[in-house]
Amino acid sequence: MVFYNALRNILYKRNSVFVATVFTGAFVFQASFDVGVTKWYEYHNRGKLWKDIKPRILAGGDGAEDEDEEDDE
Amino acid sequence: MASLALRSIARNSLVSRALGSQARLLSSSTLTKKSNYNTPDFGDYIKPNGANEKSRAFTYFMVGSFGLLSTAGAKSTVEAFLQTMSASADVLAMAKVEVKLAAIPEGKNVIVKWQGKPVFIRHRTSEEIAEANAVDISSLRDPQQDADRAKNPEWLVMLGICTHLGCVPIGESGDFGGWFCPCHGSHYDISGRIRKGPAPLNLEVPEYEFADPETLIVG
Amino acid sequence: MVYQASRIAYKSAPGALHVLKAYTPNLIFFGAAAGGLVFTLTERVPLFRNTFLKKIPVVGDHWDVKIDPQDTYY
Repeated sequence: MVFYNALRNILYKRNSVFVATVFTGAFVFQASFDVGVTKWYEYHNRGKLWKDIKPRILAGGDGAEDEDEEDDE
Repeated sequence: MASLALRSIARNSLVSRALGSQARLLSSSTLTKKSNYNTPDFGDYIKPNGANEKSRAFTYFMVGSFGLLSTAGAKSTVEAFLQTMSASADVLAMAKVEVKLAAIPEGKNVIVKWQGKPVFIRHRTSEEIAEANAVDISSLRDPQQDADRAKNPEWLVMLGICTHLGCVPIGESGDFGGWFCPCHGSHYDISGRIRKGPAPLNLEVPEYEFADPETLIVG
Repeated sequence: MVYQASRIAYKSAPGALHVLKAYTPNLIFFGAAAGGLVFTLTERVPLFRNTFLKKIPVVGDHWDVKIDPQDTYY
């Protein structure tokens, strides 16, 4: 009960504070969502991304083969 | 405890209802007096004192989260539409042209293609620069200082499109020693300013910069 | 019949300054909210990125996207 009362007094007693919290929350959310989704995507496609194969391609040699494999997928 | 509190509230509401009907008669407010609306008894639904804070927090949490997500979502949606208007990678790759200036001797013209348009680059001699600066600005159709047209007076960079109807003028010809448009006879001087003929404006100067003294980047 | 509990009493209305003073905290918080909204909406605008977002301590790097010049040709 104390917790909820505190929550009320801090967060939504004034509408202005509530709205400000929502907007700053949106700012933090979109940045963290971006980071999270990017992390997941790079984990899901690990080994296939340009940043992963770049050193091999630049070193030459088996680079062309790898590219063909990528195309097949 | 809770049920006791509930019952007491219910009783209170009964009492207040009874009082309310009297208050209506006692009230000096004409609106209340005219009202014959019987307030329903919400006693069964009223939570004991303080217990409604939890549901209030839940409601505000839901409203706030919805607002947060829709703010971020609306912004992303608008952004996605705006992104379609920005130049794509292939356009950006063609947007700039690099010219090595060392290959252009003094007093020569070079035409390079930039975004599908010809760009005139002239390495002007010091006499030509002096000639361009000697012109009386007030006598020109489109008054413009030579210094406003060339960042480096030695190098004149401009779009090779006649401002009349878009032909490509011919270099080192015309009455003023600059460019001459064969389509309708517009004469441009050595600074690319219109001097004679139907064209209304000087030859346009594109965005350009000197990356280093030997390299010109148009775009 | 109208009964009145007391005689009508007059008091001076509070001035505009008083009202402004009473609303000041709210106005400040709404200003902060508007600022937050501007930050949210302009997150991808290069001008705002370079002017504000990159300079946020600790997390500012998130908006400082570095591409190897080798991987881009413009």
